[in-house]
Amino acid sequence: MAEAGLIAIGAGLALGLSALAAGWAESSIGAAAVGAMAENEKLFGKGLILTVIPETLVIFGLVIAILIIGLAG
Amino acid sequence: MRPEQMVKCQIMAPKTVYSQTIDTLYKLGLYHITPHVKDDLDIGSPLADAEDLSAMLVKIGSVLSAFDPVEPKKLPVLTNKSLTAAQKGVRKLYDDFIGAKLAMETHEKDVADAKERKQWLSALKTFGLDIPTLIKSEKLTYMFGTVSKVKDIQQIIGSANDISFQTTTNNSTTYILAVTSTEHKAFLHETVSKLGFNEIALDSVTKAVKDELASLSSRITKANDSMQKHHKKWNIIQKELPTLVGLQEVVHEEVRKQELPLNFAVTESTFVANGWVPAKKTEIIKNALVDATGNKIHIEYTKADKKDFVPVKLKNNVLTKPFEFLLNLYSIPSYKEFDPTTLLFLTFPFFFGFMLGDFGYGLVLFLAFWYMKKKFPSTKDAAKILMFAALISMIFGGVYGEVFGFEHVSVETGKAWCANYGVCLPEHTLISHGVETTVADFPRLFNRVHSHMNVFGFEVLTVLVVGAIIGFIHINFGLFLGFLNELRSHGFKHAFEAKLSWIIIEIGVIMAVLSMIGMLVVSQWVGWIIALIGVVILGKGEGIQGIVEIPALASQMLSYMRLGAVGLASVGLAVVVNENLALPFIDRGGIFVAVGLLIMFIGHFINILLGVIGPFLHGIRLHYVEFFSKFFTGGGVPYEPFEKKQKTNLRGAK
Repeated sequence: MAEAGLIAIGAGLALGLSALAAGWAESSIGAAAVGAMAENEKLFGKGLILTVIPETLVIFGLVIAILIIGLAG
Repeated sequence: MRPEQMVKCQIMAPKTVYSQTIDTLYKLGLYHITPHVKDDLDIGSPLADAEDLSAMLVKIGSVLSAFDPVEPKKLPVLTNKSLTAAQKGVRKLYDDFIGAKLAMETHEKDVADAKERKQWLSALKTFGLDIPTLIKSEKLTYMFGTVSKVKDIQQIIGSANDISFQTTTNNSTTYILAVTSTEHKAFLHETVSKLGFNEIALDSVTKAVKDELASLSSRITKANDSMQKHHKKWNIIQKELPTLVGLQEVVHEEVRKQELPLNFAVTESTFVANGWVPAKKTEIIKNALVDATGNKIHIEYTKADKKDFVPVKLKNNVLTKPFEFLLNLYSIPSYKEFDPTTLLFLTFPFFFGFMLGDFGYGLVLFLAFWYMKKKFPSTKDAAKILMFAALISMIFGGVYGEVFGFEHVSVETGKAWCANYGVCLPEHTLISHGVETTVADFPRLFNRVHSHMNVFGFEVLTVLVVGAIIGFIHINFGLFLGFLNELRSHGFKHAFEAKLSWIIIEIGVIMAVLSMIGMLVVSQWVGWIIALIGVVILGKGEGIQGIVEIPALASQMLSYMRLGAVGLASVGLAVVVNENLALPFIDRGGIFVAVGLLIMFIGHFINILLGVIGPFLHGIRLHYVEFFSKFFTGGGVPYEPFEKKQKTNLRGAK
């Protein structure tokens, strides 16, 4: 049972830390993107894309978390 | 897949046919004008009326800004005669408007002043003093005004022996009149200032207060009467508004026409216009212009060459047209590129559906976006895309066997459905936490939460693997399109070096990995050498920038695992709402069933919202970042022919 607990903690860390990192990265991109949009509304699409680029971090975190839980069987 | 073919169209004619030419171009609505940059030839100047018309527009705009928006009245086409009449009319209306506005403002101020005076005069009247005498008195000094600290009056002035005072309260404002002998003037000032005192000057009171009040009342009545007269004028102006708005639209279009020569090159007596027209329409344009000018015109068509910035008109059918919305968010393609709209049509709803993959959610979203399309016509393109995506979500709901996060119903319910509706679900035994339960399962191709497959000895969820495989195919398809684009614009050598080199690297790495795990009999070094050759070619084609990008290729393919992962997160939430939050309540029966249903409603509502945002953003991002970077540069100039503006919003903010 102790092993399962460690696996769960590992999965939680993988997802949580990557989400934190993505949020951190997106915060400054998002602020800049909204600033650019305030000047030119046409930049909405580009701003959106740039903002969601770090989202990949969470996805990788989620995938790793799922794989780790898969290890537990 | 390619933008509409365009040809360069140069028009040369004498200035005598200016207006005929411009009118014809306007009516055809096909000519995309390239503004002339001053060189040997000068830039044309606006036609004679443009300045007057602009001034007229300003006047109309300032009148309209004082009223609420109205629907325009349809006006006949302007002739020279009607234009002069309209100009005269607008001038008169504007003068009336300004006159009425100023007069009304003055009167409003007058009435407000008089009302204020009336209020304090009535307060003064209650004191019953002879004010003109008090003002003239040399022995006495006084102060009259409002006080805010009403509670402190007795304490502060009451204790001052030399001051006598009276107060009265009128409309919750307290007035005070304090009188003392002239030598205590400074003391009086000091005392009242402690009460939050605001002085009202009485110098203007020359008659007895009663008489002052009587004359004031007649002044207010008179002002109100004249105000009504101006109100009538104002109403007359208001009745003209629909005509005015109609006129504004017509005149605005006329000004656009008259200012068109600003884009032309001119000599003393001729003008030259440069622009683009769709290749299919050349004959129509030529015939119309020749007819309108009595053959006094020369039109020359030439093909686009490499250096031209050709305007881009996307060519899509009814089904794919809405997806231009997604492309416009990014950038429209340049003239020589593929128009990826059709590809977005093929893969975006597929990605969205793959991620959301729930029959119930798909159905709810389909209806929601159908309603949105009906209710808000301006969002119809986005709504159509999302309706389509919701439909695919329903299909994937069938593939995964999920309805609102439920994968099965209880055996009893399954039996009841079989007996009552003829819908018989297969029974299935689940083992969860060591407890065996038999349930009636929804039919499915594979279960995305539980279905695993073996990858190099690891048990990996099938959806993640499928996602990565889709990524591999999608990215390589992008590289292939990039190859075709480069082939067209830079020739085979560059296309091969910049795009096919990626595929060589991929083949090399795949061979090496397969040799390592023993699935290929050749040495793994063969694979690595092929990959290295690919890297060298890439370096030659794209330089150091390309080589830096190599690790990104792997991460981009793995990035497509989000197709599975986003869905798993959505299912996870739905399962929590159903099994961990709502079902425990429902199992307790009675009133708790309602609580359980409420929890399910709120939970699924939130999950559906997330289910739109997540799959939409991730779906579109996979296109923009991973896919488009392989072949698409964009930055095209949109084709904007000179034509009637569909909807002009000319009103300034009120």
